[in-house]
Amino acid sequence: MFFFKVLNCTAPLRTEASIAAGGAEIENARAEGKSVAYQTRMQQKSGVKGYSLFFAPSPAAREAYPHLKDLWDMGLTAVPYDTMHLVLLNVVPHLWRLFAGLKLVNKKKDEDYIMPKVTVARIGMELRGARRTVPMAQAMSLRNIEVHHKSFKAIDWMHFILCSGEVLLAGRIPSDYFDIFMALSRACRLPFRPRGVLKTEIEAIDKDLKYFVSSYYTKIYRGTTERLPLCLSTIATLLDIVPLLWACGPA
Amino acid sequence: MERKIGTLGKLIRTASNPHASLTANVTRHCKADLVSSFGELYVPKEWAATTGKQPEATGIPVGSWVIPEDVGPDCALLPPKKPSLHLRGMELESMRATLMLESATEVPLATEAKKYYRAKLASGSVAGSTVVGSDSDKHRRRNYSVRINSTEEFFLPDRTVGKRLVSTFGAVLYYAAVFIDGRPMSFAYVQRVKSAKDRSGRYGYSAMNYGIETFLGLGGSTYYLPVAALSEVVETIEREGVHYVLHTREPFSVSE
Repeated sequence: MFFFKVLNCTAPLRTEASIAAGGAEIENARAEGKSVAYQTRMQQKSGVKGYSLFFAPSPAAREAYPHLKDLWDMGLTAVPYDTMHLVLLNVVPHLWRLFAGLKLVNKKKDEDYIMPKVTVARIGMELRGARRTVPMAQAMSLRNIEVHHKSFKAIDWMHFILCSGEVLLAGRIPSDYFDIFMALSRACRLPFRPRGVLKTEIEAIDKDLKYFVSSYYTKIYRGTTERLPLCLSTIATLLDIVPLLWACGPA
Repeated sequence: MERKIGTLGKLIRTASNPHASLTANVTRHCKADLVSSFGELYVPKEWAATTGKQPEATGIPVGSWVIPEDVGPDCALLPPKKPSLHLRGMELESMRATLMLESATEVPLATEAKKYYRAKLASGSVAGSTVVGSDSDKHRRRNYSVRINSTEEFFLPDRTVGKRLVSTFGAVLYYAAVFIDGRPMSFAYVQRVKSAKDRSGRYGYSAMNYGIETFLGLGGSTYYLPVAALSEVVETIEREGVHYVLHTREPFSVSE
């Protein structure tokens, strides 16, 4: 996929088999009693921490859970994503960390999408101050995001991406990045509601998500080796939401 | 599905035979859910007598005043309420003006009203009212900014006057239930918002900042309007002295 294209990078793409092999290698090192530093180096090299029941099951797990065989046989791509974790607990907090200057690349603080600390503090106060205008059930979502972002729940991030983020970020980050944020916001407003979505709405979601993903990789990740920490697979995974909506309906 | 998976761990209970244990526990839970939902729905009296638990009250709370609507769902004024009192001064004048606009055949010189402080709108959301005195309950009166379905007059090319629907904003001070013209009527006493777009004497309209509806705050004229004209409760964030109206969110729009 062109989104992951890194300049002058010839490393082979990871496959399901290579990930399982990496997991087995780590587990063997652990069983042989290798040092923690050695294990950590291997984990960083392979990007896998060990066996995973759904992703890379161990031989013992395969034996203990025969009823999961169908799931393993289907392969990873056939399993629908949980949009709560994908969008609300991965992508949205990542965007906040970027804009609030909490996710730096090579400790560079002069990125044009990073807001000044004063602005971040003001945003937190404004969000906290809006409590009295919302129903009781939503008031918990309006905590000071600067102070409490680490303990924000999915429901808090949902309020941020659907409602408050638009107001708090408008005019405070460059319009290119605000447009990226709003594309995700618009895409989330349709499926994250109790009633279903129409065909035309799914097409609109698809358009917004494609704009978000392509703009993210172009304007934020920018395809360079030094910015690889911003090349997250969770961003590209958003492109699977619409096919999954067609297949399974809203999550 | 995520929530369901999260509960499965507690149901396994044994390491020796997890699948059989999980199956048995899930089956028992499903049966229990089925029996309780059937009992509560089809034999509520017998269910309450057996379990000793009274069924949960549904719909609007006791003491509410339901306002029947000709079209769409009914609205309701919710307790607590104040005893009947005579409207005076500005409130009385506003009420008389509203009754004339509503084409009431009888516009009395004195009007007695019961005041309420919360209302369930036709949209299903609960609108509070501003904190106006020592009798107020701070925990209940919080979401009082409302979007109002209004009409405005404008000149057509042939110099005749036309009417069009517009959306305006205001804050509810209280709700009044009155019995006039031989029928009960309900009104919201609303103060219009001010915005940068307002001209003199024309309040309630929002301005647009960054494509978002905004207003400067309260301070416009106060008037009565039928509760049915309240479209929805709006959430706002105050930023640099300007109140920004948040996007209306469906999942919680009916929550209190």
